Amino acid sequence: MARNWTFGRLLGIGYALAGAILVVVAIIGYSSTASLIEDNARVSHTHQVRRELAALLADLINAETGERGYIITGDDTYLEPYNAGRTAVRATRERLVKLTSDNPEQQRRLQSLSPMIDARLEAFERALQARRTGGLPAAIASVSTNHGKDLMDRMRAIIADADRAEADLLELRSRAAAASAGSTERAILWGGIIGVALVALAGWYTVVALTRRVGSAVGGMQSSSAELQAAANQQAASAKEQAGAMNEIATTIRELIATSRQIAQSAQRVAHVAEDTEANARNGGGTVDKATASIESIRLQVDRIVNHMLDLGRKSQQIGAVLDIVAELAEQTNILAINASIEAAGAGDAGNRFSVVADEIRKLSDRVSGSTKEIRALIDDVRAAVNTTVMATESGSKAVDAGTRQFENVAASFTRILAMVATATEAAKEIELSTKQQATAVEQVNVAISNVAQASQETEASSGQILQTASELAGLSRDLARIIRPEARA
Amino acid sequence: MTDAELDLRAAVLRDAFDGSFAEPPPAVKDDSERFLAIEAAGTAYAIAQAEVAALFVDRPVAALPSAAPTCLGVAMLDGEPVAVHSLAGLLGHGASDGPPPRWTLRVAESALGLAFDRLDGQLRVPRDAIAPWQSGMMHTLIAASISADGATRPVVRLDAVVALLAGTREE
Repeated sequence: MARNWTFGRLLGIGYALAGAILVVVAIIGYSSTASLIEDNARVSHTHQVRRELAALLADLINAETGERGYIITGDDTYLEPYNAGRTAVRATRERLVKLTSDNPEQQRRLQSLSPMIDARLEAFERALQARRTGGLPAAIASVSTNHGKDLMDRMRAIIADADRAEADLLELRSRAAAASAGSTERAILWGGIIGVALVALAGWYTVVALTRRVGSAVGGMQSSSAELQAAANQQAASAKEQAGAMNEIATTIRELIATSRQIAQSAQRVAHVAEDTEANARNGGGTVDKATASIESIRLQVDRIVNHMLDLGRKSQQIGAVLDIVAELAEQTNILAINASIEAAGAGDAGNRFSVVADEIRKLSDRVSGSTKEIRALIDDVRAAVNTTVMATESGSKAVDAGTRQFENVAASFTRILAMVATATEAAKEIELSTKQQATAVEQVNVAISNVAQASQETEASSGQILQTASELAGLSRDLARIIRPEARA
Repeated sequence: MTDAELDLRAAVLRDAFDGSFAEPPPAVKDDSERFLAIEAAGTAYAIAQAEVAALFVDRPVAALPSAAPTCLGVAMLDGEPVAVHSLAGLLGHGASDGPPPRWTLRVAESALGLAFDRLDGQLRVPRDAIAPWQSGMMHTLIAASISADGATRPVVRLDAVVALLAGTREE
């Protein structure tokens, strides 16, 4: 059960036990001391009564001595001790009455003594009066009676009885005081020994219990501080990583904001472009109609070109026919020239000049033949070009027809495009609005991320403080462990 | 050919044509001999113009049965019926699946006509450019060769052709 007591309770119980022991010892000591003081007071009282009894007798004797000296000498100087004794006797008697008020036997003695004292004091006064008035003889006669001596003897006897009674009482009270002193001494001695032993036992138990429990707690605190250090280190590292990640996220979000703004601007431009496209698409319908008419005109022009090209081809063929004739003429001329040359050679010297003419004619025919070949090649090229052109124009005509059909499709497509562009314009406006909202949201996220990053940095700083505190706690626990168990090495 | 090239070519031809009338007649050169450049069975030959009486083109040849395998028939040349033989056949080229020869020449001082495929032109060859026919390439109808326009043409001896055909008839 004591194991479950708290540290304060354990110390409180220990100190309470020690205090209780001290209280018991103090009570016993106080009681013994009080009894001792009372006994000592009674002893002193008894001594004081005995001294007053002795003083009463001495005062009576002093008064008697003064009375006798005056009677004998008649000197008034002897009256001083008489008067002092006479006054002191009465005062002493009053003190004795008070001092023995608790003792009936002594009160009875004093009551019996008091008339005797008064009688004796009156006797002294009569003797002194006799001395004054009758002189020495009268005084001697006054004192020569045995009455005064008997009275003094009885008073001495009564005082002696009272003194014996006080002596007996003193002995009794001295014994009681000695008993009280012994009891007090024993109470203080044994009470101190027992109290010290019990306090030492309670202290030992408290120290052992506290050492065990505080040691266990310090061990736990060391382990906890080590775990706290590790946790603080991990938390600091995590907070640092989190702060870094938050910074990266913040950077990314800033880039995202810039991108969102660019997207918003692009969406705005797209919206404008879509509006322009819609307007252009509306104009495009009319343009397509015009283009269709233009294509029809082009088709007619192409037909004309084809016809012209066919005419050109036919004329080229006619030129070729004429050229065939020219070539044939050139060939015949060449043959004639050769034959003329042969004939001229057969005519001997007379034919030499004719041979020269024949050669010139032959050369001329050769050049004509070469020219006709070149012209034929050119005509062939022209005819090939015409054929190619005709084929191309026919293909173009077909392409124009196909284009016309395509333009009809284009016109239909333009109608659809117009509707789609209108839809796209609305979508672009919605995208622009959504993008602006998105940019605003991203900016809010950026603010939140910045707050989180700041919180992470604060967490990192707090982790550092926790780490420092944990380190200090670990050091403190080691110091505490060394204080509790010096042999322990944390 | 571009228009500018055509214009340039026409200008050159006109200048040559006009210049031919302005130039003086060339002097007669005795150190050259004239040849007809022909082509038979895809091979270029030359024939001395002195051995040719006349040249014809696209003259109809009436086919006649003959013992000579090279005889194509009879044609009217200069108003006389002349036997026309295939020069390619005489030179040993095999029968051709192509069109019949367009050109015909009449051998001088003989009623013989030789048909060939194409006339390349007339050549004036210096005498020192006429070389004897190489022995390794001996042919009874070829005596020499000429070099003209960067090519060598064997010269067909028409007299040998006439003699060959005459010998064939005698047999």
